Amino acid sequence: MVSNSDVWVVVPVFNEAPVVRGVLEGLRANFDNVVAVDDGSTDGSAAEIEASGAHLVHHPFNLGAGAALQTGVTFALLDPGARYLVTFDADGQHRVEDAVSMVERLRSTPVDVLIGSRFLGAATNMRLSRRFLLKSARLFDRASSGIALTDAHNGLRAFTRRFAELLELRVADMGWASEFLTRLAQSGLPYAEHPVTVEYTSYSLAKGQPSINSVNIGMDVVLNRMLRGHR
Amino acid sequence: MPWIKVLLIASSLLVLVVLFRQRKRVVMRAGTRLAAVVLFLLAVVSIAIPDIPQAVAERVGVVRGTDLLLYVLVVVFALSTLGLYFRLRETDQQVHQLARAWAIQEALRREEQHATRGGAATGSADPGSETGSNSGDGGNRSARAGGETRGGPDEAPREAAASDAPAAGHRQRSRR
Repeated sequence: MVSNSDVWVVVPVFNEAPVVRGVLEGLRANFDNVVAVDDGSTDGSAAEIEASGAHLVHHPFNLGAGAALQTGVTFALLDPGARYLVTFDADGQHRVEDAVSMVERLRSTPVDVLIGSRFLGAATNMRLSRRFLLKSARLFDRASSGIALTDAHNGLRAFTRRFAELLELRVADMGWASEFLTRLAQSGLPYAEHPVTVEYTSYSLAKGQPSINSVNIGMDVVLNRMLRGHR
Repeated sequence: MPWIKVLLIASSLLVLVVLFRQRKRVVMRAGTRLAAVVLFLLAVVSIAIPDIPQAVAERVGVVRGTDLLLYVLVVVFALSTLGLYFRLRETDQQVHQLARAWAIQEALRREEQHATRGGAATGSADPGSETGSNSGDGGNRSARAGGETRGGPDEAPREAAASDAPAAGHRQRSRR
């Protein structure tokens, strides 16, 4: 197996106690460096993370998914040996094999950013409403960042240190995925999509974002774009 | 002069006093204060001599002076709300940065503490290729995080401890 000691996997965690340990252990079987950012969970997530042996960074209170991700990236970048970073959802919807193959592709091809796409791959059990929502999100992202992806809000992404150092997410909320694309467009770095399988388990469906939250996300992204640099 | 006028003028004076007593808030810029002084003067004038706002209202095409006041109030309210929103956003971002810096330092401190307490026995059990470069990383990492960590050999045991799941139980002590 290829040594992945120069890879850091960042897993933002918010109240995922029932599944997070299994997810992290699966990751640790393939990656030496896994950092889970506990975003002020109120269940036993922190203990589960520690039990898994992953690095734990613990937000003192809930800051939001984007902020948690940025914390994990900042933490990973403290290791000068970190060359590749992977973001991975804690709810078990992603497959570790996909993360591994994304890192391999980053190593072998001159792209800086790979974004997982469930539409290029297979999505199991996706509801029609969710499918439609994701299509709309895609149009929204194309309008706001100029980047058109087949899957706008996939949590599985892999990127190089170069891009990670530029990332600096400010949208603390779920809108980070769109901000990520904006930053990507600004950086001008080469990117690609990578087919991944998303498994919609009953757990992730119950936990997932209510669709109405997309209104909040969209507003946050637009406001943040308008106000960026505003003091 | 009716009592209501005295009361109104006194309360607007109070607003002014409160505004200027907030000396600690450097962000409160001079422009805001000047605007406040102007507003205060306008308030006093229109309370003392209601004919003036009435005349101004008629001049700009508003029927009643009170309506004019209402419109001005709406504008001022919107402006101050926006101003507060910007400030809040800025504060939020500062809080996030602070929380992030704290969380990372805390994580490093906890891992180092764990490494020095229990990691020595397992030493370089980490099967990865990292052990060689790690001692260097440790120093760098702590320094960049601004922590009080001493750097040096903390990193290798940290990895070893991390790969040693059962040991996690006693790491938990430092949590709150």
